[in-house]
Amino acid sequence: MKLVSKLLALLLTVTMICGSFVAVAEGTDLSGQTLTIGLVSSLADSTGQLHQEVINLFVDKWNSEGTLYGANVKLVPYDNMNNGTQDTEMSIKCVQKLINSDHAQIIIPGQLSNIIQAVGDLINENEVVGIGLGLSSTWMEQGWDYMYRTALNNNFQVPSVTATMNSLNQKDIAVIYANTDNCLSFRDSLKAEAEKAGINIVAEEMIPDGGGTGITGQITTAVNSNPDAIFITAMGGYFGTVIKQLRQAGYKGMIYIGQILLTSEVDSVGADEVNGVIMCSPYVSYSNVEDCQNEYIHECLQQFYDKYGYCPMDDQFYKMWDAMLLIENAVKEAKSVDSAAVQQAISKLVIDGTAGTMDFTQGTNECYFGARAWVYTVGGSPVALEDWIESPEADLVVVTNK
Amino acid sequence: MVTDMNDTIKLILQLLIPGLCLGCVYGLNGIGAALLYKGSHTINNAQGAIVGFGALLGYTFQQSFGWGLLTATLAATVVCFLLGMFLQVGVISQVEKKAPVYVVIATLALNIVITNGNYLIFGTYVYESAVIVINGSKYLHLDFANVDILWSNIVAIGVSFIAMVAVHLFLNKSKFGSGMRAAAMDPFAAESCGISVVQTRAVTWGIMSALGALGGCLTGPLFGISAQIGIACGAKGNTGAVLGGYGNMYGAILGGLIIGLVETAFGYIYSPYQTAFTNALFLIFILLLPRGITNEKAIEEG
Repeated sequence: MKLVSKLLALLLTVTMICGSFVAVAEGTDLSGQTLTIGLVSSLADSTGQLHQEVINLFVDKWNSEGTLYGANVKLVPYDNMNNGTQDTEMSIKCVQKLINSDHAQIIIPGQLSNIIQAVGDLINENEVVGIGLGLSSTWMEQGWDYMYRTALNNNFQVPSVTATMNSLNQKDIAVIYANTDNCLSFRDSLKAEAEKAGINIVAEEMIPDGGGTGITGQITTAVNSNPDAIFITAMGGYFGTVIKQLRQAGYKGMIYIGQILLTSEVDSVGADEVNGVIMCSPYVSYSNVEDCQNEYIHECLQQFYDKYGYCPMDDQFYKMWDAMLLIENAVKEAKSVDSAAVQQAISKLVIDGTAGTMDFTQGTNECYFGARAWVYTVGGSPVALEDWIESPEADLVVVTNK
Repeated sequence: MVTDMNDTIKLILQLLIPGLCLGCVYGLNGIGAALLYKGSHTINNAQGAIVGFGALLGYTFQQSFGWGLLTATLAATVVCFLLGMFLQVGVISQVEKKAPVYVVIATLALNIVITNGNYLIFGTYVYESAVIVINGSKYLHLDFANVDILWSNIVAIGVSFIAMVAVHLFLNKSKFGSGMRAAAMDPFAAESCGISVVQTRAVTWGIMSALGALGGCLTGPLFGISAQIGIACGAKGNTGAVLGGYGNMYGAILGGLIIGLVETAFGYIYSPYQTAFTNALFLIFILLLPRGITNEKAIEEG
């Protein structure tokens, strides 16, 4: 009897030990561990504030609900004091501090491609996961294993731009570009793609970084080249200035822009003047949550509105939202907050994002690969090209000059 | 042939009027820089930030109180005049007592404080200012060249010219203006004659800030209003002042006009080198004509 009891006790003990191992494997517990997300952005301006707000929305939710297996998530934001100039030196110092002092596992070096280019090596060499929000193709060509992007690469955007130009029979295009890494890369991609598509570049005009005041000469050259359409690639926030001057110079044709036109820029140009401004982008900017008809985006905007009381109008919202979705899914997949494990997990991810499906399985560290054409209307709202072209508002603009 | 001639005239007008307009705005900023240097042999690195603040303030007056462009501009100009006086009395005169070099450092600090204040208060967006409409149109149509010129350009040139004449009259025809000139020439002698150098310097800062705000507001209908617009205007105003002869307000006007026209012309001729050409011109003047177009001796006296 004693032997039977001993055998039963032994069996019970072995079962409990095995059971506990199974439980650990199935229910990963990262409580007590910390995931540090570093942000390098211009914290004094609205872009940096928006970046922090989106991250904090997710971090608060993750921490309160224990989403990342109970791991404590911490945001460490640093100001690169990038107000109008691209302060790469300060950004490098911020990233060094995030790596060496804060031991961040994930670093988001903001939306400026020049800065991402400058800090990318540092992030990659230290095997920290980096998520860039910039659009230039150049920094992604460095072959950094640890650097990812949750926005649309300019190079992937350009084919939809030239396809739209061809569909509207626009063969002579004037290009206005700013002297930044992103804009130069966009210009070069457009020129290469235009050549393939049989589109002529009839004028190429450079404007100072950030727009500025003295661009009358460039505007005059572009308009006098009698183009079918004008393409602008400039720093986000400055499209309005250039569009305003083109319209003031009497240009009545279509204007392509390389990025999203912010609602504030629509206001700065004047809602009537933006009619015929066209962009090929994965998303558009909404003045308020109700304007958004897309259910998925509406839900994202609503969550943000519920927490902060306003509707974000900058496309940085979408890019940062996607970055947070990437982190959440990668940590869940990795079942770890270790940066190497997170990096390995990202390459397996196919998840929903604000611009459609984010597919990281292509081995390029990119996730979005296409855009669609939107046109701004008299009231300043963007609609799909096919809807606009059928509307009376299209008659107010010279769709093709010749 | 006639068509070619008309096209040429049209092109010249398309470039000349906006170039002159920009030049006037730079000139307004240059006047302030010249007066300050003449009066106290220092420079104001915060001028661009003040221009941005003035422009954004004018926009805020338009939006918050429904004021017209000219009323809002006048109000912003007055507020910035007071701000300039306050900065001189509250900051500059305090650090000036310690060492003159601190004034330059203090204006650098003020530039950062005001610029970041602008970003925090007004944001980094470009705002739409009211556009000047006369007889129901934004444009003045010139039949002989078949060209439309923005009224906003013409008004900006006109208002700048009036402001320049007003400053000239104030300095040359008013008792206080004579005192300012005397204090600029020899502060100790002026003080012994009963002229308050503290007051004259405060008014110099007031005029400088007010002219900056005026220029900022006038650019609004053309380029939109943002904090960044001031940075460009302030820097180019200073460049214009050097070209004209640093310390000479008439030279600053002339220098500002040259910068505006040259910048516009280079933008038309070959835009990638626009900034380089404009700054090369600045370097050439510093190297070959350090006293500027007007042969101003203030720099050497300083």
